[in-house]
Amino acid sequence: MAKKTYDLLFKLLLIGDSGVGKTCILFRFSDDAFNTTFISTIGIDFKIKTIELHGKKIKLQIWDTAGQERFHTITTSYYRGAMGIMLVYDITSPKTFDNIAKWLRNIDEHANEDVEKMILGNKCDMEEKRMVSKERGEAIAREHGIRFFETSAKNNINIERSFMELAEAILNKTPSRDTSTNHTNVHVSQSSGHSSKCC
Amino acid sequence: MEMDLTQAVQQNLLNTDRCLVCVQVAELSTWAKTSRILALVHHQGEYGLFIFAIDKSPVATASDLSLKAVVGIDAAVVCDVSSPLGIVEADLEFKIVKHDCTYTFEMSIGQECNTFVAEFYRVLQSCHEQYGDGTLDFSWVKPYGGEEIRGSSQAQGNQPHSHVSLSKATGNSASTFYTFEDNFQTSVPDASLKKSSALPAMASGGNLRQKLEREVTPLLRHSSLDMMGSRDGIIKRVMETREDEYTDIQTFRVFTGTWNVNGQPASVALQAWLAGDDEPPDMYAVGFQELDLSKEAFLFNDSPREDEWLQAVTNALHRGATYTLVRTIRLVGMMLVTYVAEPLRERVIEVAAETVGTGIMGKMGNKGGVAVRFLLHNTSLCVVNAHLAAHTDDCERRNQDHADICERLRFARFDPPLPIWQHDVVLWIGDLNYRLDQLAYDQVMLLMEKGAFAKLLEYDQLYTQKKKGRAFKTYEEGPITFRPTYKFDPGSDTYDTSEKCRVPAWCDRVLWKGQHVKQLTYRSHPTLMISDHKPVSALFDVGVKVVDVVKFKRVYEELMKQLDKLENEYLPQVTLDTMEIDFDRVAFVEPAAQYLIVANTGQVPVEFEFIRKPNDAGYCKPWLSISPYKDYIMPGEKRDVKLEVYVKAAMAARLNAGDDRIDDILVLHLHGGKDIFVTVGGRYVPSCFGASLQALCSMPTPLREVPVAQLVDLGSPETPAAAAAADAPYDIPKEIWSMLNHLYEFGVQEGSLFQQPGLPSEILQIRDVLDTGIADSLPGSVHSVAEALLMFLEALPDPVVPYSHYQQCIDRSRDVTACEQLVAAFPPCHSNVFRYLMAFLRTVLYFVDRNKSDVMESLALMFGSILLRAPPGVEPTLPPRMLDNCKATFVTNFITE
Ligand SMILES: Nc1nc2c(ncn2[C@@H]2O[C@H](COP(=O)(O)OP(=O)(O)OP(=O)(O)O)[C@@H](O)[C@H]2O)c(=O)[nH]1
Ligand SMILES: [Mg+2]
Repeated sequence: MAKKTYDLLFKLLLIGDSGVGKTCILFRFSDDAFNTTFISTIGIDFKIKTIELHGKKIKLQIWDTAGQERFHTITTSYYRGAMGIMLVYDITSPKTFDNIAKWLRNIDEHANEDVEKMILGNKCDMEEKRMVSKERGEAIAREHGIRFFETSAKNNINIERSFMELAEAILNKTPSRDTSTNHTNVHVSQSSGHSSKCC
Repeated sequence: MEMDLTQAVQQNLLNTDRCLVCVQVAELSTWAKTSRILALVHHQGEYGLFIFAIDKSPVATASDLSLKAVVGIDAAVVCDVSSPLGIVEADLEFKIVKHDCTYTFEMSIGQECNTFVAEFYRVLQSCHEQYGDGTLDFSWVKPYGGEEIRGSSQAQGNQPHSHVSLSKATGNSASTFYTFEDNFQTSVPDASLKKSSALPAMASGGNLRQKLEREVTPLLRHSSLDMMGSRDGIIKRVMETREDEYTDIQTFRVFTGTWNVNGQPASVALQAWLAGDDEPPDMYAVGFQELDLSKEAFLFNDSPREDEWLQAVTNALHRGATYTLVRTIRLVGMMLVTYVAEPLRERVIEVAAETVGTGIMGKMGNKGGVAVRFLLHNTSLCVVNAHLAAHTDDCERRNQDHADICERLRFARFDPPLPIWQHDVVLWIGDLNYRLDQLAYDQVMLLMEKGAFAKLLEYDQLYTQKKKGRAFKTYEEGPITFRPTYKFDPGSDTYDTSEKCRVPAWCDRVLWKGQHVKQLTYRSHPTLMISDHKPVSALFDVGVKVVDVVKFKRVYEELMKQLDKLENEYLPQVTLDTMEIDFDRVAFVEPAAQYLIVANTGQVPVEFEFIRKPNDAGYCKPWLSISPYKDYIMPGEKRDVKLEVYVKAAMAARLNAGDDRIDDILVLHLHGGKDIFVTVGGRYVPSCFGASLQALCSMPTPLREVPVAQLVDLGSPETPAAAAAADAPYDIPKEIWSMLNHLYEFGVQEGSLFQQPGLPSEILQIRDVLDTGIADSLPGSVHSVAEALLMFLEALPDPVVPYSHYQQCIDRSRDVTACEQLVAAFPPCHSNVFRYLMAFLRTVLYFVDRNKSDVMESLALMFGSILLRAPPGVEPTLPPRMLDNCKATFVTNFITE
């Protein structure tokens, strides 16, 4: 009998103002690459990435949304069903930080109630242009009881970590299913081409 | 004279190739039985099954044959011979399967058939032994007209398969078999490639892709499962092929022992045999033959000796370690016992045991083999304990027994059942019964005394048969430095003194196959004297693949990444020529089209669809239409999607008033993939069509000359501007006056007014003249003006019969007086327009000469539906037909003389 490919599927969503680096964050996480040219996302795109957490194979389906204002009414309709949302601002742009409150309201209105949230202050590699202090970011996150990271898609800072933490937070909430499945087995059968009939 | 068949075949072959054996058969297909010649052809260590058609029968010359197909013989070939059970003299069915292609032949039983089948099996077996499950490329077949393409590594690349043609006989995937039809034009893409929609993508470049292609593609083909569904399977297979990257070779000591105990009870201690070394081995494999010679054991396969000997072995294992029994297996007198030292216990998995009898009727277990296999860490290990046919002269029989065991012993718990040769390491022990040829008892004794074992070995049948490749070809054996282990007078160290005076022989042997196997000792143990054989042992250091968890994780994660990447690349992808469609100027009833080019730039077919946004009624605004709004696009192909705006009467008022705009965001959804937003925009040109009567009455100038802000104000009755318009400069809008005037002048005498449609282009010209006042008279035919008038009335935001009076007018439509009173109560411009229209209709009717009543009825219906419109959102109180009648009746009141 063919086993399923993964144990769990988590749907994550990236939101935030246009230009804060959502697409770059996803690209860094999925392809481990970075692009300086800005091609604003006009729509909703997703990528998949398989991770392993506590011996469980988890498939992340990560949705990247258009940040442009004119699409907001449409993009909010994609919030439902997301298990985790990453709200991104740009530490060099106070406006994008100020909009956090608005984005949080959007989440409250449109996302599932138990959605796991995380705030990311992106572009932390640009220290010389910083306009939003880390403390302010931490403060707003604390205020709303949300996890917070400063990230850089460019220099690959905290990208993997933030996704893993978000996935972990979701996993912790997920009622553990049958424990009979054993995941720690690294032993790979060698007898090429012959799967065991029994078991 | 009839020619020798083999000769005829040989003459069809190249000098380098030799026909080993051939036979005339009938090929069975769904429709027919066709005569064929099957020939087993040898070419420098490789073999092919050549299938010839018989052009002329009986075959007299080489040209009477023509080659139809060649099946390259490698591990991928499976052969099955069956005969209908119980029918003597029946024909034999000979089936050849390679990959997913099958040939079935019928042979009449006889010497020829036997020879062919036996030889074919031998070749197949030796291919398995020699090449494992690797496949060959059979390039030597090329000169015959093409190349065997399947199964070779090159098939994974992008080589054109232009030489392959489909076999009519099988109608199956052609690539497996290499067939020669009359011409070679038909190019058949690899059939298995087509099966998976995920695959075409792999053809394009990229380093990683190529790597994955190499690793994954063959597996995909193999499993013929689709990409996503079999991800686990693929991971497993790729991990297998990359095993070297994450395993280290670790050496384990393996003790093997074999003893023909001649049916004796386990009455002696076995330490001298099993535990004679200082260091304890990590694993034991101990085989017995003739464990029990009783009739019960033979017939019922039931023996008390089993436990006895098992106990004896267990007691004699090395004291330096604790051993766990892995598995015992017994078939009549053959028993194999395997143990591993305690720390390895966790590392032994997939244990299986199997037996094969080669005795009488090819079934009975007095001769044959038993085997145990398992995985030790990541190395698959198989131990075979065999007892082959006895007697000096039966050497051929022993070879056959060996071949039978190789062929028939398959571990059935695997799917497909796992044969012996598919193990990393095979240890073959037992009483193989090979004797010393040509030497008499005394000669042997003499050489033995001298310790000339090497000389003696030259007469050893196993040694010679092996050298000739007739048995144990691919196995190794260490040098023998012990005296022959057979035949002794029981209880002694003396060779046979009986009447038979058997020549001593090395019946009891240990051979092996596999990498990283090193024999340390190869001994006999003469102190054990209860049997007519002496036990033999061989000690090995076996290099076993041990998983390095850290390396494993790295390779595994890398693979996951590759698969993720592949999966992401297989998501539907399209590119649009533009994300924003601008219609620029959009005017009333003036259609305009723009094209959106959707190109499938991804790897998989795309199904796209414009989907509805939440809160919206449709997938686009009512003034827009999209065609096709859903469709399929193949990779590399494009679709032109037509977007068309058309502002009809019903939408004009809202656009005029600025309540609606030529502005929309379309959501282009790719099934199983992303959504793309397409922005549609345009500038609506306000028009008197869709403006209110009130506004038009208060506008002294044509609409285009009115500033937009004022226009919007005039549109809604609540604003001060609209209130001011109550005392309007005109009784009726100049536009209505203009159209009616034109019709009075040129149309009423026409008689067919309102019965013929106008021309759209003329209607647009009329609209422009009305909006701009550029001309004094209206362009176009009267029919166009008439239709423009109807459109104008239909586009009014508040109909001529105002919404506020609508219900009363319907309710009292039969009451002429009431109707007149109602009209009088309309806002002035509405009642003026209404009266004006009615007067006009009366004039129209006046000029109708024939079927006056019919015309009146149709005019009443037409105008009724346009002048009396239900306020939006109001549920009709009457069925549509009755409602239409009420409206017509209302109008009729005013147009009958
Ligand atoms: N220095 C720096 N630049 C970044 C970083 N992340 C993104 N950028 C740049 O910021 C710009 C916008 O990045 P995107 O990821 O396209 O922004 P987005 O949030 O997806 O924008 P929308 O798709 O319009 O919502 C690009 O030019 C990126 O190169 C970062 O970590 N450091
Ligand atoms: Mg983006």
